[in-house]
Formats: sequence, C-alpha cells, structure tokens
Amino acid sequence: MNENKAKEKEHLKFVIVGHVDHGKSTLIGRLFYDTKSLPQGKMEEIEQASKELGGRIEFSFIMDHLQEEREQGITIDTAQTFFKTPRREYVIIDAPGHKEFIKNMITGASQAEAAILIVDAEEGVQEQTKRHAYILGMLGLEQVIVAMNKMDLVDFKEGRFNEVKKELEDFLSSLGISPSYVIPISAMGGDNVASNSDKMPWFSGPSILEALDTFKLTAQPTHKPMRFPVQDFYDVDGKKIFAGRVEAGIAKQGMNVVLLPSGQKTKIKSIEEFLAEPKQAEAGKSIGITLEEDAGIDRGEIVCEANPLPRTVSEFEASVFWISKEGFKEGDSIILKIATEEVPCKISKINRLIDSSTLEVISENASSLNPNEVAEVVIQTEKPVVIENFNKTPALGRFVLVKELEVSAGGIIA
Amino acid sequence: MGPDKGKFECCNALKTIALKQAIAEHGFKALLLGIRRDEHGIRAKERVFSPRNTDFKWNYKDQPPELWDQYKSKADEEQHIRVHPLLHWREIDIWKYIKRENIPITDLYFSGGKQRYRSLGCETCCGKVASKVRTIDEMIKELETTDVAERSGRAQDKEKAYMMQKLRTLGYM
Repeated sequence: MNENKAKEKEHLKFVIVGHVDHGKSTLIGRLFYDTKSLPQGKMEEIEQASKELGGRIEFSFIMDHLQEEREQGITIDTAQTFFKTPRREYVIIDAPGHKEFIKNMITGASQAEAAILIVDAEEGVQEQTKRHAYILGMLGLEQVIVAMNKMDLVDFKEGRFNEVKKELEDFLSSLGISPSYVIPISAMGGDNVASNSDKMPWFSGPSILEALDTFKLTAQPTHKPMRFPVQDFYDVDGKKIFAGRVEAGIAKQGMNVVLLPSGQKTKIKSIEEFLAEPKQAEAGKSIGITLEEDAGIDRGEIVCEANPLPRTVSEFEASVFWISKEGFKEGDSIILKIATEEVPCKISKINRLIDSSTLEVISENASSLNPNEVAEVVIQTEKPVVIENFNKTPALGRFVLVKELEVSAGGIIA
Repeated sequence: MGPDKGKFECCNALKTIALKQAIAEHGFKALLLGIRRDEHGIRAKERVFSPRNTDFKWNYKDQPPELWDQYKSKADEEQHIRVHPLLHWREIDIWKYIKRENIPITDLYFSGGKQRYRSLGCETCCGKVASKVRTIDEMIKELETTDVAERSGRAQDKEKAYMMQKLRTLGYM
C-alpha cells in the first residue's frame, strides 16, 4: 500500500486570499487557462454565462459557480479545484474576500499548505489584505507568495510595486510572516502568471507557477513523540481494537505508552490493519491498535509516547478567532473540540482583544467576543484535556469552540 | 414522470422528492453520499458535513466552517446531515482505489469499442462519451490525459444555467 502511495504524483494544496476585488478568482481562472487544465466546453460555458450577464469574459466564473456570485461578481464560498504543471498536481482553494464571509475564508485556508496573498497594485493594502494575512499567520502557513495584481493599471511601474511591497512586508513582518516571493502580475493579461512577462523587464524573479513549483509538501511529523487520539473502539474476535489516526511519531508494536488524560501506563500489543499485519504505523495513517492491558478508555483518550508527554490541564491559554455570526458573551456555555476530545468549557478570561486587521488592542479586559474578533483567552474545561503546543503537535494544538451546535471559533495553543 | 415533462421537474421528482420520502419513512439523521468536489463547480463548494433543514434546503450562503478535521457533526431535531467522506477525491482516485482494492464494478463504465458511460444517473438522461476503454488500467490512463469533463454526458448539468445549483438547493445530491 505504501509503495503505491510513493508512486502517486505530488499534490500541493494552496489557498488564494486577499481583499475583495483584488483578483483572486481571476488569477485562478488564468492559472487554469494557461496550464490548459480546463475541460472541453468549460470555456464555452463561461463565455455563454459572461455574455448573458452582458460583460467581457469572466475568468472568475471558473470558480464562482453560484448564480449570486456570478451576478454580483463576488465569491461567497470557498471552493476547491485541481490543475497540473509538469512538476506536480495542485489543489487550488479559492477563498472569498468579503468580511462577511470570513468563516468561509478560514475554512479554505485551514486546509492549505501554502498561500498566495493577492493585493491590488493600484488600491494597495486594504482591510481584508491584513485580516487574511493575520489568519495565515495564525494558521502557521509559512509558504506564502505575495502576488501584486493589476500591474497593468499602474503602467507596470516598478516604483508603485516597491511602494506597496514595502507597506505589506512591514505589516507581514509584524505577524512573523516573511513571504517567499513578491511577484508583480496582471492576472487578467497573464503577465508573470504562467510565464515571465516582457512588460516588466525590471523584475527578475519567478512567475507565479515557477514560484509554486518550489514549495514543499507538508511533511508528516514522524520524528516526534507518538500521539494517537482514540476515535472509537470495536470488539473484533474477542480483541478490543482502538481506531484512530496516528497524529505524530510512529506507533510500534511493543511501545510503552501512557493513556491521557486517565494516566494509565501500558504497551501497544499490536497494530491492526485489514488483511495485513504491520508492526508499525507512522503519522498520517489511520489504523487500529490493541493494548496489553484492558484499558477502560473511550473516544477522546490520547495514546502517547512519553519523553515528553503532552500537558493534561483544566485551564490553558490560547488565541481564538471568533467566526460565528453569534458572538460570545461571558457565561455562554461552549464545547471544546480538540483532536477527538470533546469537553464542555468556558472562556474564563479575555486577556487581550485584538482587531485582526489593524492589530490594535481593543480591550484588555473584555467580556464578550464579536464576529471576526481575535483574542488571547483563558479556557477552563469541565474535565482535564490533553493539549500541546501547536508547533510541536499540530493536532493537539488547534481546536474549535462549538456554541449551540455551531462551530463558532477556531483556536491555537502557542 | 419523465424528462419530457421538463428535465428540472423530472430530476427533482425522481431524485429529490424520492429521497425526501425515504428519509421521512425511515427517520434518517444522516446520509452518507459519495459526491466529490471535482464533479461540478457547485459540488466544489460543499462541506464534508453539510446540514439540511426539514424542507431539505441547502443554505449555501451560510455553510458551517470546517477547520482542520472538526465538523458540524451534530444537528438539531429539525435537520439531517449529509456526510461527504469522498469530497476531496478526484475521479481518477476512485478508479485507482477500485484497482487497488479489486472492487467489482458494472460493465456500463467500459466501452464496447467506441463509447462508454463516464457518469451514471437516470437512464433517460445519461449519454455516453467517446472512449475505447475496456479495462481499469486503460481507464486510469484515459483519465490522466482527458480534457472531457466527467459529467459531460449528464443532461441536467447542461440544461440551463444554474440548474445544478437550483436542484441542489432543493435537496438534490
């Protein structure tokens, strides 16, 4: 099975973000068009739809499929699609630029391993440019291209490019993001998208496609201490098999493990896979395991390799991004979902409330969170939970908060 | 009912209304569906866990956020949830998986010499596409290079602009 996988072509997922109307969907259309990734008849369909709406050819219609999106010329929801270069295959995640649709943007961005932050050369850095950049930073995305679009509107001038570049780079560095490339483009005209443009001889860097091809796939954290969040268990032929996905390290037969939060110590007796008898399973793999002792554990328990163990706590600090239309008020009952753990909790303190586009501190002692606000908070859980720093074990360092059945916030433990 | 009564009306009656009746009869709280993002631009906007209200409506303007692997896995009494575990697979992944796991499939996907079905739905509205594919290996090879859309033989995708959106809003898969 692993051999088959190794032969698979590489597959990089990237998201395109940025302020409304700065050209995200148009850039995607252009990437498709220039790499000849459009199926037969698609261009005709787009030409037809563009004509019905009385305009010029809209590349954005490749991703914007909803009637409301096409008629209003906006992207409402995130979408994903595929294209190829000779080097590898890509999944493009489109994300809406409007503030109202930020939760759709986060949905898209949270699934990406690289990002293109697009900014309009004429309009310069805008509110959502900054907010989206903030979210990229919070999600820990390190492979970022800044595409400075609509260079045709500023006569392809290097001076304007440098001006906006400086402004954006200053903001990004305050978020700890240093873009891998800043590329002047015209998505409409295709300049510096699939190939270099002769309209900007002053720019010697790569095109968007060349830049993307240099990015690396996110490696599974196989070299870290083993973490196996239990999803469920099954009795099969008298054996109690715990099912889940290895989130870090390598689960091995005979490995000494600690079950958290219960604290029991035992060994992995076997690794279970249908029609196979593997001796180990590395991060990323969904498998079953059996344990030496009959542990009375359930979904949400984390099977851990020691040295070091994750933290088991009932109170912790985190950054949260409130995305639900319904805000948060002191005393609201919410549920914390982290890996397979699910525990009632409350936000006991809001230490710092931050405007995600200006980075200004709005309040140091707030009692509520509104949509699109970011805060450093203290979370108190009803039962102990197992957490870890996001950079150490991503799966145990990121979580969502659920209020009244709705996923209302995303959070990172740093 | 038949496509002569109008393709939209027919699709809605045979698929959506029939599905509605089945859910009402059995009281299902969740449906597992094999739709994928690469099939259609509207499906590209779906969620892995996608709620529907009692009227079956898909509120595509206000879908739940999905961060990492956390989904809207609980619904209130008024809703059911569509679960789409293969949403991120591509057509070619399906065939590679069928090959790897040696899963039996219907012959309709293979060509008698000139044509085959790429996508199967109602008999009346499915057309064949030109293809010489006779084996799964040939299928995978064809999909690696083809620029014909998977659902190009499916009438409901082409009938009118936004027909798929309208069907899906009403509860079509």
